Amino acid sequence: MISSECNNERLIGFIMSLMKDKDILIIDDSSDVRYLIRRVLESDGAQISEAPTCDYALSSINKIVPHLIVLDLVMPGRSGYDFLLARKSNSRIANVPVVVLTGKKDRDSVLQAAAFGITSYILKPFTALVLLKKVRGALKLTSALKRKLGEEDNDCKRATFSVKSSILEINEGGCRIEAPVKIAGQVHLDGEMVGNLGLTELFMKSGPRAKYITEGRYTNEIFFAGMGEQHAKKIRGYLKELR
Amino acid sequence: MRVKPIVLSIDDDPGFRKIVEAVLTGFGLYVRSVPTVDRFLRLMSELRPDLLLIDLNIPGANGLELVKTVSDKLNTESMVMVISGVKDKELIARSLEAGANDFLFKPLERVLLATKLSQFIRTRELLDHGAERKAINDENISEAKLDFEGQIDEVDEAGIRFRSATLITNGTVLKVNSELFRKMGVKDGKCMITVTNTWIADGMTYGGYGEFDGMDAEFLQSIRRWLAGKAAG
Repeated sequence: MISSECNNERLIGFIMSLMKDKDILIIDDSSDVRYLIRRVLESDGAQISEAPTCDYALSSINKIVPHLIVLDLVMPGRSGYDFLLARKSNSRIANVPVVVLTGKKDRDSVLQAAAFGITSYILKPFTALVLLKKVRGALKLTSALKRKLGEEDNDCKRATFSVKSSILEINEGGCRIEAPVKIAGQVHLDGEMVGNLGLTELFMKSGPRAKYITEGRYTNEIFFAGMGEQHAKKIRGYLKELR
Repeated sequence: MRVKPIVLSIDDDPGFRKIVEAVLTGFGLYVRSVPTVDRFLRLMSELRPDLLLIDLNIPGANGLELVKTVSDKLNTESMVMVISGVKDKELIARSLEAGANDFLFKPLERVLLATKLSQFIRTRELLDHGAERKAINDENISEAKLDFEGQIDEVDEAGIRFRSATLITNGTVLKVNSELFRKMGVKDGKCMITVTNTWIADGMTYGGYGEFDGMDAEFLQSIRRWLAGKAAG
């Protein structure tokens, strides 16, 4: 009994996470239909944006790249087919899955749309359940956008990571700190004490013997390099005051 | 203060012990090498060595256990270097966690050993010259922001894959500052991540994956715009 409840919860969790915070763009000329779809999908956690025309939809893509597009095939002006054609050559949305809406008597149009690589279709009139099923199914098929950084990104892939630490001991040669990292190489410390002592301008390097304490925390040795007599004096004076 | 740093080494291979003794003596270090754990531990309490070289694959003994025992007994100025005959990353990772400071693979490269030794000697000198350290007990002033460098290797909608010489504990929340985010249109170029996975990338660097943590919709959309814009271009 308990285990089946757990399984249900996990299943619900999975479905919710599928839809949660996903941006979904609804393109339909009927505001009633857009409202209906918004209500259903929003209740599942999705972020909805609406477009009454194809042109509006295409310009909105410059701001928000959707995870999924729900598209009405028959619209006055530029039709759903025009949008599908434009999508093919728009790198931003070329790989975004599309679920099309079409009238019940219009099965041929589905076949036609299939040529553009739609993910699935919904025949009008539809129920909330069918809509959810189709949209979830389409989202499940899509993988997250991902990009490996290559040579062309060499100028920008360096990163500085910052984490909270606490200084346990200090003298003019260096200090011992506690942090959830085991450091190696060059580091930098900033904070009230280091700031007061004017140490932020020094080079700091990790020393040997970082030691695992508990719960993923380590003590690390840090050496100060480039320390002048002025800095050293300041530290000695400061430590005397602390006593 | 001792003038000559003392090195204690354990290895069951007599040929290897000879090489280690030759190289280390050449560096002006006092070296003793032994084949068994018993003698190793006895000499350790006798000599109080500055550097310990531990072979992880001693027959009839658990190398990891030895590293742990030794690390718990040592004073903080001593250093432990483990040597492994097999390039087993898992084993190295666990020995680092057990308290080792560094590692080497067999066959031993003399140049690499020499580089590591000179590093060790330098840091020892620094430690010897340092006066007694003052303990800071006031939490308000002891808190400090620690920055270290790394590199971002991959970006997806949910987070980043990165590399760093620093090992980060899973679950740690970090602030990341990179030109990359600025390029994506994030004004301050910063974001928060929670590290969810770490591994040994190569030699001396660790890889990790961090999920974006508490970032607003605008940030996530900037990432998506950048990823989508690049995907087909």
